[in-house]
Amino acid sequence: MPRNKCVWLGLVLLASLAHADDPPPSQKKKLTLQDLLKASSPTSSHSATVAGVRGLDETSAGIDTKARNFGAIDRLDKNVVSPAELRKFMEEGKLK
Amino acid sequence: MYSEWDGKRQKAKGRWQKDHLPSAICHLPFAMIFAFCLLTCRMSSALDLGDLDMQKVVSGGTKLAKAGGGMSDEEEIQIGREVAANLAARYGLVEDGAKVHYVNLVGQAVVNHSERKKLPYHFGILHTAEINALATPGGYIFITQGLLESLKDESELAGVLAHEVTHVARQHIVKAIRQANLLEGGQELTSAAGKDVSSYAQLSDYSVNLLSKGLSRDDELEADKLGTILAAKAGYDASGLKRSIEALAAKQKADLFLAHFNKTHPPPKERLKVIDKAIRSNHLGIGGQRLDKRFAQRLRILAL
Repeated sequence: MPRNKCVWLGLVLLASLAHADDPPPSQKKKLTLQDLLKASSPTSSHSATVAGVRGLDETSAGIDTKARNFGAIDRLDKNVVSPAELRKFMEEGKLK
Repeated sequence: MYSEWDGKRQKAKGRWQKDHLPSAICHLPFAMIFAFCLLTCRMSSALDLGDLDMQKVVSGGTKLAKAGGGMSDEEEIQIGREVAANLAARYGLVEDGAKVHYVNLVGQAVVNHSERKKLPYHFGILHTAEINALATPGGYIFITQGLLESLKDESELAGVLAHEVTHVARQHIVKAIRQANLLEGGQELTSAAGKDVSSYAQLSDYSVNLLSKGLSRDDELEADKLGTILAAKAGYDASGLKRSIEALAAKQKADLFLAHFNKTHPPPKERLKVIDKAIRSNHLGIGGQRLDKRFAQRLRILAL
């Protein structure tokens, strides 16, 4: 009986080694980066929905999302408040 | 007590060991080799990533983690600047340096107590009679000329600005972007996969749309609650934001200049309830500054 068991185990061992060397089955899809990302995404099943953010399903007709005026923002960036000026402003207003 | 039955049991146990143990010892190496082969077989399948560049995967993993936790301050500022430039192009900015500087002083006094004060905040006035205030990611905050003219004192302005600073500090727009999954996998990952995507343009276009449609109700109410606390911490009367909302609620519902504001914010009744609770539970009722005279002196008339 023990010898029989050894033979069986040997056969199983050989089969498993042979399977490890097998090329992947033809129907097996090659894993791509995007597949990896989808698998890694914690919210993959809900990723297409934006529930909780109001109005995202509405159309945004009438808004020119491409318009830019960086000149105005450059001028706004230059309007800087120095720490000393802020301190004075806060003291004058009895702010904290 | 050692009984006869116990003795029999010991004998039986010894016999089992004698009969079975050599067999088990004989099988052990085979079982171990078998387990090892199965494991090897499994691992070779799991790591079969085709011709994937592992460096890109590692870079992508980092970006994915970043997308999960938000974006860097620099990226957020970059997107916010694009959105601010869009608002400036659509409405125009009030270029009166003194008035803009005053709004900046009030804003910075509030930011001074913010949980995220390291960002370079900028406060501007949009040249429109519409009543609204907006925050972009990264710290560009705007109040419309229409809303500014409807305010009575500096504490109301501070309350409005504190509400917007809270949107930035709590990264409400970044969160909305993440919920929309625009950052799923990160933009660099898309590039790593060999595609050319202008990520900032895409994200800022999305943010522009989001601002025009409004943030979630929960984010608005959180900004009301924390904004009220923030303005009070800065030394302003805690009821500033509350009074500004009450004044707007008293206006005609059909007021065209209020239409967008009403569309993008929860009903005033709901907002006032949250603010009242914040004032009560944080004992913010007494001693804050309203500064109505300074407000009137600094702003005078903002004619359109």
